[in-house]
Amino acid sequence: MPYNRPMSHFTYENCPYPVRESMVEAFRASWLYIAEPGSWWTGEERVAIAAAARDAADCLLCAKRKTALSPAAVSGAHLARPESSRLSAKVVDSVHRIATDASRLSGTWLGDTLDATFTDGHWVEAVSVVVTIVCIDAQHKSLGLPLEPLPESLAGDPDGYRPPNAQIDVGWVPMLTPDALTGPEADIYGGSPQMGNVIRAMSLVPDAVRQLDAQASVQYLPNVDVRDFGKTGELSLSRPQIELVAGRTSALNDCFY
Amino acid sequence: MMLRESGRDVEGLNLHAIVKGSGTFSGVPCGEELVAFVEAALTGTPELATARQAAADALGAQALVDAAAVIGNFQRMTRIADSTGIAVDERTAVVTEGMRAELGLNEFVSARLPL
Repeated sequence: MPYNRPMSHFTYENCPYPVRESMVEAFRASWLYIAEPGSWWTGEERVAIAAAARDAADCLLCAKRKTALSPAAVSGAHLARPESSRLSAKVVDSVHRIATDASRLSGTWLGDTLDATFTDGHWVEAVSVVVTIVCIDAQHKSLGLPLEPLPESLAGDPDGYRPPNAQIDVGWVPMLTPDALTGPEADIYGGSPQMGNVIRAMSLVPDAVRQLDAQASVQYLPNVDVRDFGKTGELSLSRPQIELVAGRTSALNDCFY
Repeated sequence: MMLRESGRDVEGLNLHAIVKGSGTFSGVPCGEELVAFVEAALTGTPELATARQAAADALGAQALVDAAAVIGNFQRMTRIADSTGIAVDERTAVVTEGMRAELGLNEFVSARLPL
């Protein structure tokens, strides 16, 4: 299914549930985001990362690690279908860990994993691609809908852009504070003087923040509205209902944040 | 924290439902159906279809889609937080100190507070 026909994705034909047009448009834009070259990966590599994230759901090694006292106690090979086979073993392992066992990642492990060809920029962008597909797939699975076929990649080279003001502060990767936004990334926090760490965490790759905001705007709330507890965005649930679903989902992921 | 703040007008709001899950009354309208839907969706159990239908019956089809959307959103946010090693924001850490202790959140494997 070539991506040069974006309307062919997310048609929701025969879907028994009402899916808003704004959500359809956001999901189609997400598929384009995955298909395009980014700052650190080509479009082909990004589609392969998305494929690997899907592989992880059926990966026997990931399942064994998830139930082990320590993920390091279990070795073996990850499931790698043809779509993800162009990635190195290190990248496949990283993608599977992000997708299936993120709460047990550590700064030490990440420091040992990153190198000159798999940099912090590659890591943040890989996280962005993984979570882009995970959040849409999770919605489809929850509703009993089939997973959307992956997009075809678009040609081009990564631009290698790194925000000059990004610095390590509250996490393992460099990120931008609102008062450090300049030039091409001046818009990424929507003009807000404060932004949650979980949003800032992606700011080493500014397009990842833009993508996150676009998706969150249809699946939850725009980033700038999160701390306004009267806001419910486009959702038809009350805010306490939204936060109950959010909190229980986070707890089942063992996520402290 | 977000449920506590947004649920100040919810009579009998019980934050323990977030950690303990099904069987613990949350006080949130249709909360039991929503929690059961989340648990079935994340564990992929055969009960998912039943939980989905129960949520749709209680809340309506559009709200069911929206609940699934929120599940998707927080499957994303948890992975971002855990993959980048971020600490909880300082002001959040301060205002949630008592709640985190009461709910046992500090025991989560990914617990990281500001230095």
